[in-house]
Amino acid sequence: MNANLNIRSWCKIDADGFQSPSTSQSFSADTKSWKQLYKWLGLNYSKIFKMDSLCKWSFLAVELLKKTHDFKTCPGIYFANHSSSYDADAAHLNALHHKEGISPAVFVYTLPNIAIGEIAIANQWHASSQCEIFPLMDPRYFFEELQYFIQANGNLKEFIFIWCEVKNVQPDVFAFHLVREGGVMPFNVEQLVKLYQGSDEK
Amino acid sequence: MDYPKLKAYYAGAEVITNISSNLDDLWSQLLAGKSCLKPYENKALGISTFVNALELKESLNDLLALLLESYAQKHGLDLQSKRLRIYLSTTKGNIKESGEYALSLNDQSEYLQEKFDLTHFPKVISHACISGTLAIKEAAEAIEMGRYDEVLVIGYDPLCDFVLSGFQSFMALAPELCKPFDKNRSGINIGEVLALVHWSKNPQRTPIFYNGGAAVNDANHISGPSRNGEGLFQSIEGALNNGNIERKDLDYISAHGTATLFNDNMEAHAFHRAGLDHVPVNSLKAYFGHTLGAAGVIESIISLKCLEENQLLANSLYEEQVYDLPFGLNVIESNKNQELNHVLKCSSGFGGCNAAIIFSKE
Repeated sequence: MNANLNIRSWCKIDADGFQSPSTSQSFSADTKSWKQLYKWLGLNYSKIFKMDSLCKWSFLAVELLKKTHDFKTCPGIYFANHSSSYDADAAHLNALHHKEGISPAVFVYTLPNIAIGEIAIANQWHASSQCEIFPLMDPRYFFEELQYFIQANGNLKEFIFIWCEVKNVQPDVFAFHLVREGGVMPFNVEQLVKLYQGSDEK
Repeated sequence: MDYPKLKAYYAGAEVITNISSNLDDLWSQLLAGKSCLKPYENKALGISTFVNALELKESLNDLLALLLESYAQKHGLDLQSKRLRIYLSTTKGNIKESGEYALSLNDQSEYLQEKFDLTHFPKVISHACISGTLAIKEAAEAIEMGRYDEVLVIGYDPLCDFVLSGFQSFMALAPELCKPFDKNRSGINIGEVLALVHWSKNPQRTPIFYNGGAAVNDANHISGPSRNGEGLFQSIEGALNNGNIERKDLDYISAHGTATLFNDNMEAHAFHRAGLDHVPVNSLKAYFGHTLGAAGVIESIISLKCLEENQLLANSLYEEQVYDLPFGLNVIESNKNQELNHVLKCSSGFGGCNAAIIFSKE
């Protein structure tokens, strides 16, 4: 099988900061670090203030990809993480245990695919997507998964992969943009390992 | 689709519900108009509704293992084969028994892999209320693309305070047995089942195969469906495009039909826009309630059974219902024997997600 796509852009976000092909910035270590990225991106999108942390970081990862290279068509979205909607679950459980403040605005975020919904709304993408829970971010799994996702969506020209793991507000995000034409890096396991582990790429 | 397609055949199913000991038993209960739903009161949460509760003593892991083992034995399946994969469809997994913040959807996958010494860890698909339908789409596509020879899709989700309180906060719980598509519909009943459906590259005695599917996001709202059914409409069109079927040949639609005002209206819009107003349609929510991550699986299993048996099931368990939707759908009023060749199954969920898949007789 040969999916014949290349990587156009990528980004990484963790507790220490964010990286993309064009930039590398550190965060100050507090829980509001998403605002630094939001500001750096020069965004004006009020809906982000209502989002839970999983959706905030997922949305920002896509904006970071767009900063390097915008999408020309509606991409297929492959979303994955380990802890599902852990923080929203904890918030809803906390309200439930204290028998107060059970809120639909919290409950709706107790599903990981809401992140795909927020990205779809922000970009007006009637996107085809998958949302899956995996033991860990292993480039070998996802290289294989994406081969089949791409093949099953043969009509699409672009794809986004987003690993967005958020637990106790700490993000571990790795995203990349795949294109059929005009890619700048090969799409293979070695390249994904290099980008995710951040050995020699800036 | 632009790959050499194999066919994915429906190869069997099994279920655990509170009214049956197996799938054949469940089928006869459904034909007799029996529902899994019962009145339910939860004073602490201020909830008075109908639910479908399993009330079993076994843990979720044990139930999953039991279902898998008995199915594999009965059908002589080698669970350890590297050509077989299990897909788990769930949104809240073991949250009922996992203690305060210990939810892990990977736990069931790890447990099953270890217990049965599986080559591949079961893949967890968690996509709100379309999880089951999407898992079947992915399973069938995996077979079509030659990735696996056999895929077992298992759907489950817990009935628990976490879920009930959340739907209550949306004021979405019906105080009565739910009434999908009815003029006076009052919301959802929540239900709990375990359901397993088997897809294979090998043709079966009554060859029924997966005949296309698509899943398209509304890009409209995270907790409300699109008013004009855009994502579901595009999903249905996508399914018809990538399957080998004309829309005029669809014989039956198994809708999502949660019995909320907005969902059922949205579906009516989508079916109308797809030119499917006349196709017999029902929701199975009056029988099972909304079983969340299991919904697409159990409802597909019953749709497949309808296809096998050339049988349509009544949408409602009320003596009388008045259907009042933006467009006049052909809601199935009573059980009916009718030749069926092509069935459309639809699901929609939070996050603006939608999925449509088609099953056909060869």
